[in-house]
Amino acid sequence: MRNLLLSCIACLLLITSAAAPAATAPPLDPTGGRIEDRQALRVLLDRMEKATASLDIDTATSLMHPDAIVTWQNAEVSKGHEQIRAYYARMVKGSNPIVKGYSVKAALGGPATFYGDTAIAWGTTVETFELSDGLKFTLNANWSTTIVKQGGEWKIAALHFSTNLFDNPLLKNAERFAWIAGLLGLLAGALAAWLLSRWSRKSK
Amino acid sequence: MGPRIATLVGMLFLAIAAEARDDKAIHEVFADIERAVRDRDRTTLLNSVTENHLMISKNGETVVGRVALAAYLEKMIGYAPSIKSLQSTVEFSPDIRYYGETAVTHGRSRDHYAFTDGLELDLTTYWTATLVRDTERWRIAAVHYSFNLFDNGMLDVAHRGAFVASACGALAGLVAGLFFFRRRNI
Repeated sequence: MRNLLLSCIACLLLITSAAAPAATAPPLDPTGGRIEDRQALRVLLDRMEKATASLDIDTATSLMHPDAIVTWQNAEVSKGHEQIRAYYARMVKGSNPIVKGYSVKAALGGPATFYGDTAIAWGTTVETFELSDGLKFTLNANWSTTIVKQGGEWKIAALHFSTNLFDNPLLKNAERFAWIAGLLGLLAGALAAWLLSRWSRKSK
Repeated sequence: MGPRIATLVGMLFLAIAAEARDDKAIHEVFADIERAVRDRDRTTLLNSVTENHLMISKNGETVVGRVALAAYLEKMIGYAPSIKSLQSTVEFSPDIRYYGETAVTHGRSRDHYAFTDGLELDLTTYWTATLVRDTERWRIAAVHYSFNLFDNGMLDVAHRGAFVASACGALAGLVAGLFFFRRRNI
């Protein structure tokens, strides 16, 4: 009985400590199995979220496999640490960065799926971008990742970001622009009509 | 050549041959999928994925598990489909990364969609796929589709819409204005 009670307390502690790093993650299901691996994955993804939010490329690449493949929101693909660093440098570093401001908050979508020493996890992010050309927008995005265990350590082998093709802030901007263009066209047409009327009256 | 070196060379040769075999098998999985999408063959599509398969689609839907995928396919290409026709040409990245019985690959596809609501869309889709080998064959465990957020078919449609809206607005403004100003003599 005492052993059972201790096991329950240990299990509870494990679950609460595992849930602690990622505030937006649902609690771990102890019946899902591989609790230790799930805990390690949550710590990894939590560190990745923090590294991404603080634009800490050294920590981010240290969590990735040397052959990692990352597909970004602009559909660029970076393969390996060197290309990932180069992308980061182009986007947020230097005298003329493309992205001036960035913040991200990630959430887990559900329990990871395991295939031996491979895990697949997914979820959502809310990302805020401020581009150098002045465009600011908040993006509700999806992410998925493949994580592999090598030498007892989990490393990100693939990471992919995306958003909804039919419902995203850039498309909404373009649709707003279409309305404004229509309205401006209407006003320009009315102005042309007024000028034409005046000109025809004067010429009579 | 000493026996050790000969053994090493032999092992290397076998490893390269095994990887080439795996590359071919994985390409065949995708060729089957390409064909199945074209022919709306849901059985082949469902057989190509694992039981707990994950798919994140271009419309932002996250589909987890074979049962959920069957429902998604029914919605998209079933009896009352959202997609009238889809032509897709898949292009692979030449390198496939292997991690034991797992393979990670990526690529893009040139797609032409005709939706039942009349929308026609040309889109370059970017994808990452993770495959795992079970006792029978390679199956897709996860696939994530995306597009260029800043340059894509939907934005092209919206920009064309802006051009049409301004032209139609100008014409409507001119006709209404001529009618109004001529009658009022303003």
